[in-house]
This record gives sequence, structure tokens and C-alpha cells, in this order.
Amino acid sequence: MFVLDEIIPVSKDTTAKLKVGQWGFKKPSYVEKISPCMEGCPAGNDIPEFMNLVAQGLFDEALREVLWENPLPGVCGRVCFHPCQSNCNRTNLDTELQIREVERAISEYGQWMPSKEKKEVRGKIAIIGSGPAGLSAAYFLGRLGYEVTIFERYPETGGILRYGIPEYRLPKEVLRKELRRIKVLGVKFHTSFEVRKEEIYRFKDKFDGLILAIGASLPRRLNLKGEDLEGVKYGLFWLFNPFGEEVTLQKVVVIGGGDVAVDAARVARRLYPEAQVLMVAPEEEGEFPAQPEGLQEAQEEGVKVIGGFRPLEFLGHGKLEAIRFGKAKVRRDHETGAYLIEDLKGEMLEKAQLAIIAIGQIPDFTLIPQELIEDGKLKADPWTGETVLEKCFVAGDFINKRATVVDAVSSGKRAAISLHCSLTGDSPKEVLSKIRVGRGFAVSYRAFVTGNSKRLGQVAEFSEISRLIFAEEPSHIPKKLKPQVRIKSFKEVKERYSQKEAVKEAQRCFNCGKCIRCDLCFLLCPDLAILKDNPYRVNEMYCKGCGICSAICPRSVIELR
Amino acid sequence: MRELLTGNEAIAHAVRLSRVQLIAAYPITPQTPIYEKLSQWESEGKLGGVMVRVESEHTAMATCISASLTGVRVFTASSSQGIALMHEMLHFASGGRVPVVMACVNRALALPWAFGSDQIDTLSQRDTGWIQFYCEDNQEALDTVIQAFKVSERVYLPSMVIIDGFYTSHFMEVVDVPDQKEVDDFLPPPQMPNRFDFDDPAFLCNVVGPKDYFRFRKRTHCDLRSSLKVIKEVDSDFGECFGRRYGVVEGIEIGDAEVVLVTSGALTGTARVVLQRLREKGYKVGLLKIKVFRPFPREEVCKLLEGKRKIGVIDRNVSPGQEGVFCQEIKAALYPLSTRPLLQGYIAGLGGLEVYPEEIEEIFLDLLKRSSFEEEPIWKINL
Repeated sequence: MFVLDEIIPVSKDTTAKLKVGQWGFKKPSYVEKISPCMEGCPAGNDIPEFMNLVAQGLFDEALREVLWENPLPGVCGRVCFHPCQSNCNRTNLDTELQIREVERAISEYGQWMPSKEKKEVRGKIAIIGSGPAGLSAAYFLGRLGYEVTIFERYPETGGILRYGIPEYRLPKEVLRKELRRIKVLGVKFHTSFEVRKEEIYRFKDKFDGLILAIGASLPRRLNLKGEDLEGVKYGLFWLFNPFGEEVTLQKVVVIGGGDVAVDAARVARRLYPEAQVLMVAPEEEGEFPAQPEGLQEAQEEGVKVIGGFRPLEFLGHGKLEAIRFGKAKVRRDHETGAYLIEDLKGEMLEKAQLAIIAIGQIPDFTLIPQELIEDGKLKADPWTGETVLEKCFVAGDFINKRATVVDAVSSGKRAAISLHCSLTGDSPKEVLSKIRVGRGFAVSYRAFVTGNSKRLGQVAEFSEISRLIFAEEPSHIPKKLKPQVRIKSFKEVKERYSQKEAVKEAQRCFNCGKCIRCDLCFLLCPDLAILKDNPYRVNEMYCKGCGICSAICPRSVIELR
Repeated sequence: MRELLTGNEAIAHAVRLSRVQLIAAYPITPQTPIYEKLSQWESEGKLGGVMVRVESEHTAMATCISASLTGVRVFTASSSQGIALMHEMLHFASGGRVPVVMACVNRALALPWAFGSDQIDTLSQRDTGWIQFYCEDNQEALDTVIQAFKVSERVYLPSMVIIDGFYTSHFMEVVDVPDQKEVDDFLPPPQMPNRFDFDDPAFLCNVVGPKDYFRFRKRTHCDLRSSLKVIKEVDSDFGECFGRRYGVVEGIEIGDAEVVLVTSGALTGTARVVLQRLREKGYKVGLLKIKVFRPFPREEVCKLLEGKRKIGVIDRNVSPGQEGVFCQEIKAALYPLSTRPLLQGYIAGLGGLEVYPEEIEEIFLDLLKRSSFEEEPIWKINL
């Protein structure tokens, strides 16, 4: 008879006995980074994290995640110019992730109400203006424990979101939903309440802090002959209340190539279905500053677009009859960034009964004390929002160079944190630079609250991502209403993702720089040296530094040093 | 019951009768009919055991090894490239002391690609620590599979039961297929421990130091050597039960023979016919069939060939750079004799080339008249 243990080797020891870690001279470590999309997002949204939650169908948790950085996901999920998407690493594999559409899905399907970080009440803050910057500042100050009151000169809250962006892009119900979340934080709203500049000093004494988020409320003028004719309007003013008397028009001409011009043209298409709607801008067609998607939708709806012309004169007798255009070329001064328009030979005459000038907005300095202005410019730091007046900060288009909703949200957040710092005796500049997301303009509110800003410095580049587990799979783009249906109403044009579609799209995310516990490292480590702690760690006693984990990590969070 | 069966079918019957509990195999010509037959029985519910479909021969053997460690009776079959692919696992099997039985149907190894019988596929595995049985005909193939399970399970070493591709594997012969009851009596269910004991976990493929390695290798060698005794006992028991026995070698007309030809496998059958003819003509010739190649039956070979003047060895294989493998082994076995016979190697039938009786007769006659013996083998190629 054989005694089996004598004829074959049997070991009752485990390999734990072999401390192979001492063989290695390199060790991996988990170093989370930010993703390029995050760096691109002015709101500093933690996109890889909320994508991970959506990918698991956890919409409530995803909303909670978004609300750390952006109080307006329903708004941004619709109207944002999504700089995140143009930064998306996935573009190098197939197509960019539809981040904006997923954010919209989160706002639709997620249920989460924010709350104050601490129970204690700090001070009283007044915010002037209830546009995206004011709302953002109010939200973050609310979360920090301040008693916030917003003063709005219009009858309803929301500023540009309510009065400037038409319902086919941003239904009012969406805005109401966002406002409910802000009100939960105790933010009070005083509407139809104009704060005159003399009162600003009084407010400063009455409140512990003040944020001016009054937007760029004046339309930029052309200063051309005939600009005062009846029938010549200004983009945003016109959009605030486009429903004039019922008249029939043959032609509407919108001057300008930005988002407001596109909206003006599209609203005109809806209000005057019989009229021809024309958009004229000095930029070449294809180089209009508007979001390409919106411009394309406008064209689908029948808006005619002409590039390379600028208006020279409005013609008419009392009422507008025609516009004279001259051929032009836009050049950008590389040093100052300013647009320079060069006139070329050639003219064009367009008959028109309505002209809408939408070439941008400028801040109305008459609304603020002279003290804040110097040489026709606002004396304030665009990064912190600090002004020469103590405890008085500015935010939004009033100070921002780029007039977008998400930049307003970003600046509102920075102003809120800056104000808080100045009240607690910290330096806003120092604090903001600590919580800055990459090299962008965004700061992370969560990093500010938790004190954990470790991952914010480094960006996970595409070259560092292991594509082993990612197969090509282009995005699914949500459907849109047919153009002939769209122009009959103000119904939202773009459909939302179903929950399933949102999950599928989120599953395309590489989650660059963010450990989502996919466990590839754990499964492939030949030495069982990955400890699934929070965060994951490497057991150096057994890791011999082979680097498999680092090479295969699809998120680029494991570094071998 | 007597049936007309191919060698492959005979082996399949033996597997069924041996109540094999797990079969993991991968098809390859000319072994595939074994696999097909077993598969057919499995689908008809007649097999009793489980068939595991795998993606390669390497995995087939790995599966057999793991299954065997749980204490069940396992079987696989392969040929040529399949056996070559298994090579690594063959060492695992003998080192892991698992009683796997594998039917090997000899086929030439590429390159060049060929399909006919050539023993080089199994002889290349000479040093893997497996018992090797070379069978002459279909009945012997069936009987040897049943014997192999009994031997392997007693000595905890794996066995190859080898037949010639397309000759034995595909030619039909009348085969006596034993009753299940008879086989059950001869070969009771395996009595091996399940090595996967969850209450007493252990690691079975562990690293050992050189001293232990040395010890285990020596043990495998010694056990393989002493398995020869077990093979003889099992063959003898088999003879009592079924009336057929084969021995580890078989000497035919060897007593008064002046010259003896050594053969193996299906060639032996042809050589028997030639032997008969020459005997009738008065030539004093004999035949030695090597059935068990590993462990090599050194003493038996010496006993039968001692005192003979001339020996010829036919090899359906060649070890390039040396000579036929059987020839080398016979030479080595005869070394202890004080008066060693003269020995000539012949290479014949490579790649499945037909070896006609006339050629074997030529070899006998060549041996009888030959006075000088060549170091190099003589190549018999019937163009």
C-alpha cells in the first residue's frame, strides 16, 4: 500500500509564508486623479464618479454626487455647451461620452435633497440676482449654513434661465425642480425687488456678506444708422417677452452668431411661421460661436444662415423696412483675444420687418457703486470674486469673460466659498487654489468640505488608460422631435434617455482617474497582494512589484514607483 | 459476446465496461472514433460517466489529473500532435501519481504532416513516467485497457495503451467483448482517496526543495520499476478470469531459434505469419514481441535472448541522430550479458508505410546470412 503523502508533494502551508514582497524594488500605489472631462467642466463635476453610479443604475446616489458640485444638473444637462465632452478620453477610441445627456437623466430620475453640512447657523447673506450665478452662490452658502436671501428685480426667479432660454431647450418645470432643491436649504427669494446702488451700502451693513450676481444686463449695441427704428430689437430683451402684437411678417433677420442669436431665430420661427427667418453674422458659416448642435437644429427648423456679412445700416421710415449688409471677415487678435472685423468689398440688402440684434451683452455698471469701477472696468478678481468693498463679492456674467450658464455656476460657487473664507478669516485665494480642479477654473466644493483634495492636481491622460476591457461602442444619441413638429410649439426638442439608455451610456465611461472597484487588479494580482480597503491598498509584504495591476488598470489610478 | 469491431471501438467498449467516471478528451485523427463512440453512448445514456468537452489536449489531461485526484476513474485518448501538446501535463500526471489511462493511437508527428502509424508520438513520451503498453490487435487493445486501470490504480501511475493508427485503430476484427459482470468482478470500483478534502485543505502542486525533488523522482522511478510485478500479476489474474493473457513480452518459437526478430505493435501480427512460413521451410527463426515498454522488461528480454547469436529489431520509429528506439532499448537491456548477441536494427513502416510480409521475410533472411553488423540501421523502404 502506498502512503499518498509519501509519493506526491503535499503542502499544508499557504503561500502567505512566502514574503515575496522583499524581492521587489518597485511598488504600486493607488493615486486617484481627475479626468480630462472634469478638468474641462467649469462646475468641477466629478463625472467619472457619477458615471460609475449611473452605470450601476444608482440614480439617487448619482444625483447626490452631482449636487456636490452643481446645483443645476437639470439646467446644465440641457443647455450646457459641455466642454467636458470635447475633453473626453473616449473620443480616442470611438465617440465621446454623452455626459450632458447622462447628467440630464440623473436630474430626471434621481431623487435627492441637499442639506446643510452642519446644523449651526452662520451669518446672513444677501445675493442680488437670481440667475445661475446667484442661485449657485445661494446654494453653496446655504449648504455651508448661511441664511441666504436672494433679491430679484424681475417678477420671477431664474434670470436668464427663466427669461432668456426658450422652453424648447429648457422647460420651466426643470427650473422649478432646481429651485425647490435650493429652497430646501432655507434660501429666501424676494422677487420684483430692485436693489438700487445706494442701497448696496445699506445691505452691506444689514447682512454679513453680499454677492452681486446681476449678470450682463445690457445688450451690446451696433450704433448704426437706423438702429432706433421700430422693429429693431435686442436679442435677450426680445426673448424676455417676444410675444408682441399679432402681426404677420415676411422676414425676420437676426444679427449675430451666438447662442442667443440662434434662440432668437428659433423663437421667431415658432412665432412667425409664415416669415422667412435669416441669421446673419460676420463669422464664416461653420465658425459661428453658437453651439453647433443648436445652430444645426435651427437650420433644420428652416432658419437660413448667412455668414461673412455685417450690418451697415437699418433702412426704413419710422418702421424697419430693410437692412444693408457689407461683406466682412472676422479675425481674432491672438494677443488680446479680441474680435476684429475687417470690411471687404461687396454689399447685400435684405428686406426685413423685424431685426433682432444679438451680438452679446455687457454689464450695467450704473447698477453698482462707482467705487467698484475704475476706467470703465469692474475692480474685482474674476477668480475669487473679491471686490474693493469688504464682504462684497461678484459672480456670473457681470464679471465672467465667457458668458455661459456653467461658468456662472462656477463663479457663483467660487464667490460663495470666497465669501465664507473672508468671514472665517481665511484667504480666499489660498483656499480656492487648494481645491482647484486641475488647471481649469473650477473648484471642488466637496474637496472644500471634506478637506480631501488629493486627486485634484493630476489628470489621467488617454495614453495612461489601459483599453484592455473597452470595446468600441459608439454613443447612443437621444432622439429629437421632427423639425416640422418642433416649430409648431415650444415643446422640448430633445428627448431624454430612458433609464436603461443612461445606464448603457454611463457604462461606456472609462472612469478616468477614479477607482471604481472593478477589481481587475485584485483578480490579476499573482501575489494576492491587493487589499480591498477603502481606498484599495497594496500589501507590500507580498507585492513583488511586477506592475500587472498598474499596467491593466483601466482607470489609470495605480502608479508603479 | 463476439463482435466485429475496429480497434478504436474495442477500446471504447473497454472504457465503458471499466465504468469510467470521467472522460476528458479532444478529437484528433486517428483516435477520434474512440471519442465519437463514447460520446454517442453518453448521448444515449449508456455510458454512465461524464464526458468533459475541452479546448485542447493539454486541458484534457489537466482535467483528467484534477478529476483523478478526487478519486474517480478517468480516461482520455489522443494521437500524435495531441500527445505532443499534452507533454507538460504528462509529467504532471506521473509526478502527481494519478492513475489516468490514456489510449494512444500512433500517428506520425509533423513536420511533414502525415497521418499514418508511427510510434514516435508515444516513444517521444518515454521519459514522462508513464506505463506504456504496445498492443498487437483489437482484442489485446480491449483487454489491455481493462488491465491498465487495475495496474494504474494499484501503483498510482498513469498508463498509455497504444495501438497503431489506421491498422489496429480502423481494421475490424472479431473481438470477444466480456460481460459487464465479468469486468466488474475483475475490476472493482476505484478505491482511491479524494484528495480535495475541504476539512483538511492542502496544496498539491507545491514547490519543493531539491532534496524533496530528488526523493520524489527516485520514488516515481522505483514505483514504475516495481509496477512490472504488478503488471504481471494483473495479467495473470486477467488470464484466470477471461482466458487470455499477454505477458510483458512474448517469445514465439524462440527456444531453438538461431536468430530472433524483435517487434512491437501491429507489425508483430505480420511477423507471426512470416515466422510460420519460414519455420515450415525449416529455418530456425524466432520472434520476440515487446508489449510493455515502460517499465522496460529488462530481465525478461535478457532471459529470452541470452545465448542467441543474432538479433534483429524492427522499429516503426526513429530517434534521429541515434537509431530506432526499441533497438536502443534492447541493446541497453542486453548489456549485462557476458556474451552479447550481434544485433541489427531495421527501420520500417515510418509514417504508416505498409510493411509487407515479403519485407519481414527479407529481414529474417538478411539476418540469417549476415556476418557483419552495421552500426547504422537498415532502412526498409518498399518503393
